Amino acid sequence: MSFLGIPDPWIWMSYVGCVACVVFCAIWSFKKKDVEEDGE
Amino acid sequence: MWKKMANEGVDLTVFITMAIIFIVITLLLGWYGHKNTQDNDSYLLGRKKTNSVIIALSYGATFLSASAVIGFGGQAAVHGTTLMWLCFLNMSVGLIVAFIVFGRPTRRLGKKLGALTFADLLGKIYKSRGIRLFTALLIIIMMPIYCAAVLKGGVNSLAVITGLDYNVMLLILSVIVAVYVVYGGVIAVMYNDAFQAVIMFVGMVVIFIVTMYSVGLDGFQQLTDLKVSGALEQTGVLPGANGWTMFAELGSDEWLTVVTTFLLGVGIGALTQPQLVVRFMSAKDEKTLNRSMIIGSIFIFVIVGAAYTCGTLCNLYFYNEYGVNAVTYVTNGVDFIIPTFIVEVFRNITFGDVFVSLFLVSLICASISTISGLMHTIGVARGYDLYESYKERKHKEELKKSSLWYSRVFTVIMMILVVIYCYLMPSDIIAKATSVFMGITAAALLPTYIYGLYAKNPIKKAAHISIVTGTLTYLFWALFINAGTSIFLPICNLITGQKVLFIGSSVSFVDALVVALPVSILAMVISVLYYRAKSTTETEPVAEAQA
Repeated sequence: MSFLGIPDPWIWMSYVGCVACVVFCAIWSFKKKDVEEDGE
Repeated sequence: MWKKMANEGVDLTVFITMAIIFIVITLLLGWYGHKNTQDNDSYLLGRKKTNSVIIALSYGATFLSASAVIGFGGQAAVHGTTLMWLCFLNMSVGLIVAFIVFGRPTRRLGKKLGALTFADLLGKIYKSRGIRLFTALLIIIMMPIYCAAVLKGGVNSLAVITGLDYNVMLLILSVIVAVYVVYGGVIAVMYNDAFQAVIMFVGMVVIFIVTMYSVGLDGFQQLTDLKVSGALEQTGVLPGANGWTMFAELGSDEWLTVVTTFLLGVGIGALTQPQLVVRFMSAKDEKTLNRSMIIGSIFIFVIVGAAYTCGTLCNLYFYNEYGVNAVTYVTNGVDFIIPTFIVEVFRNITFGDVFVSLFLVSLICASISTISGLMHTIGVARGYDLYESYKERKHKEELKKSSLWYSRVFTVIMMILVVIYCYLMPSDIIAKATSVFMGITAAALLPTYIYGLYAKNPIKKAAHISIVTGTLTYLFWALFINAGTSIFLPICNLITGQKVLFIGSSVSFVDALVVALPVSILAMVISVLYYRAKSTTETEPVAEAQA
């Protein structure tokens, strides 16, 4: 199965993985409840 | 011939004007850092209220150097898009795991223990002067090699593209870094990192757009077709390579080199970078660390993703223009593929000379943002960690006197040493030197670091055993087994008369980290279990073993 013109899924999955990382970071940055300040 | 050809694409007036503006802003930020640096604490960690944008950009710019753009971009031209897995590892391990698993407890413990450096943190967690000294020595011995590789790579490319003198460029960059690191401390380093990160970001976005415009949006498809039809061969690779858009044969020499050296060696090694750990400790609060992740992820994706994608696709560009692949066309070496491609691809477009100059300034930014972070870390490892440990041992009392002066002096001394290294190191070494530095720090310190962050009562002796085992295993494998790293210090050749112990065997392509890190982890686990069992079977706890 080809994606972005790359025939090997083991290669193009790296691009998908990178996008997933950006999405995860966005969710983590904006949705995550910030924990108490150092438990101080 | 090369120099003449390259200079045709560079307008020196535009480049020098941009470089002067850049230098002035850099020095102004150095002055800002100097004004805000009152004592040792602020020199080492800043005012501990750094915001998320500065943390993210500083982390990203220090993490990604000319090594990522030129060194690994060039490797992508040789080995292909498999290198995009390194981009994924940079983001998943180097950013997400680093910030969530390591960053938050590091900041918390650093604050609680009053630690100011990575070595200081480990030393205080384990109440061990030995661990602090070892970490500082590892930084002082190994980091200048990585630093020199980054500096050499950046200056080499700049000198070749612009035609300006290599020695002069090396001197100018070294002096700029030394001035703002010595006077401005970590505040100047981090603000300059952020400023340089913005330039790098703009530069790489422009390069990516122009590359896609030049080769077409179906560039990967064209490259695949050329390889499949036999019109374009992949050269400079090891047996087992299947083309730029296909993974190498599992277990082949090519697979072992790319996966173990480039992907795992650098991907995992990023977790124990002392210059990056300091960024966590300077954050205002945990909210700041969380917020910085989105900016950091976009930054790393754009810089690294663009470098590796353009690196691979430049083969198509060189084929369309000259009928050969990148390795065949660029005869100077892998580290010159990306700079050559940039000059060529911008030559025929409007404002091409401005964009080439922007790339060159981005290159300077990529180099000095990393070098400044490294030099600051090396300087304080000697001036703060070693000096304070020595004074504590000698006078048996807590050191009161500030070691700020020593940190500054040693930063200058180490900068001179790095410049000397630049003349001694071989060419085409950026990617390998990066891998070696990251590999040895991970093998030696990663189990100790994570165990120290999460264990309630970390056992000092277990950390000692893990560090010694990891370091010795890494050194043995790197110097006697791995063909790529044994060139750094040819001890094997001196003793046995051959480059590595098993010439021609597949193990000579396995990176030392892949062996040394599991050994180091195993040593840590066995030691912890042993000392825990010992402490429960004895009436008195093993006081000496516990920190």
